[in-house]
Amino acid sequence: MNQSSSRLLEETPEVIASRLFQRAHLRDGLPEIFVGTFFLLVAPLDWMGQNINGAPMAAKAAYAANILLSMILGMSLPWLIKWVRRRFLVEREGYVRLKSAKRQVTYILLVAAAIFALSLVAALWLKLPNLDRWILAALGLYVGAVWAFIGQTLRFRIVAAISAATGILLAFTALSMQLCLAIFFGMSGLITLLSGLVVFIRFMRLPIEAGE
Amino acid sequence: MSAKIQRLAEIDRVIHEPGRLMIVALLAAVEEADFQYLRQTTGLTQGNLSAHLSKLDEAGYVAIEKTFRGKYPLTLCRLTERGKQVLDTYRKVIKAAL
Repeated sequence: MNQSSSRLLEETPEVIASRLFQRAHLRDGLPEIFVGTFFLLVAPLDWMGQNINGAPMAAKAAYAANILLSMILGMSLPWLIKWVRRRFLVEREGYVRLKSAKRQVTYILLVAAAIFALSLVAALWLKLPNLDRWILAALGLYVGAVWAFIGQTLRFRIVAAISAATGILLAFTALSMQLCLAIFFGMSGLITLLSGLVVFIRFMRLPIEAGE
Repeated sequence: MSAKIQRLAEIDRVIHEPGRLMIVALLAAVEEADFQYLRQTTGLTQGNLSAHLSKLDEAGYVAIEKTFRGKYPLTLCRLTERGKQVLDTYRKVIKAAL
């Protein structure tokens, strides 16, 4: 039995299940790989959109393809992760059929939207100068907080800290908002993808312990 | 207060064991999971997990079904209604007492 067993009696079964699930869900690095790729695809969109007029046909096609790919990847992320695991990793990871988490996901999205809306209203009410810069810093903190909350491990805290620091630092630069967003999502996506790839490679190197 | 503490003596010893509590807690949160997933997630050794599952099966808390998914053999585990009730009671007693 591993060392976490000693904590079991101090936690409720729900907390135990949630902690074990989180660890299982993140142990192969796939969520980070897909989210990192999604961020990298999304990163240049706004900046490309601003500079698309008068661009060559190939650049316009790349822009359209990028929008399409981002939308497809964004909408199919949970399904894609599940499919890759069942198709290629079932011998390593085992099989699990989860209960529907639609209610929980809806709740989280509603809370996130409410926090964002309230922050925006507060910022407008306070008549903050350079509102776009505040939004950029808040975006960095928000993405960082989400990563730290989801992962609760060192690698996620590092990714969270870099994301938050990037957002805050960019808020103090004189670069255009489009370029700042591209750099922010590019940086955040790149470190998330790298972290996921390292975890995935280490996971695939583990020996398969088959049998019961 | 002492009555609540005394209820601890009634706790189900089958799921009170940390390894088994881990398995039952996990199975309570999913529809079903196979042996490999439980082993990976709980960190228990193959022998330990097998022994714990046998005890839970004997007590009627977990239903075990051997099947295949393609060529991959699956030992599917599900929490039974009895298992859900026992876990619920266990949680209430612990919460009230501590």
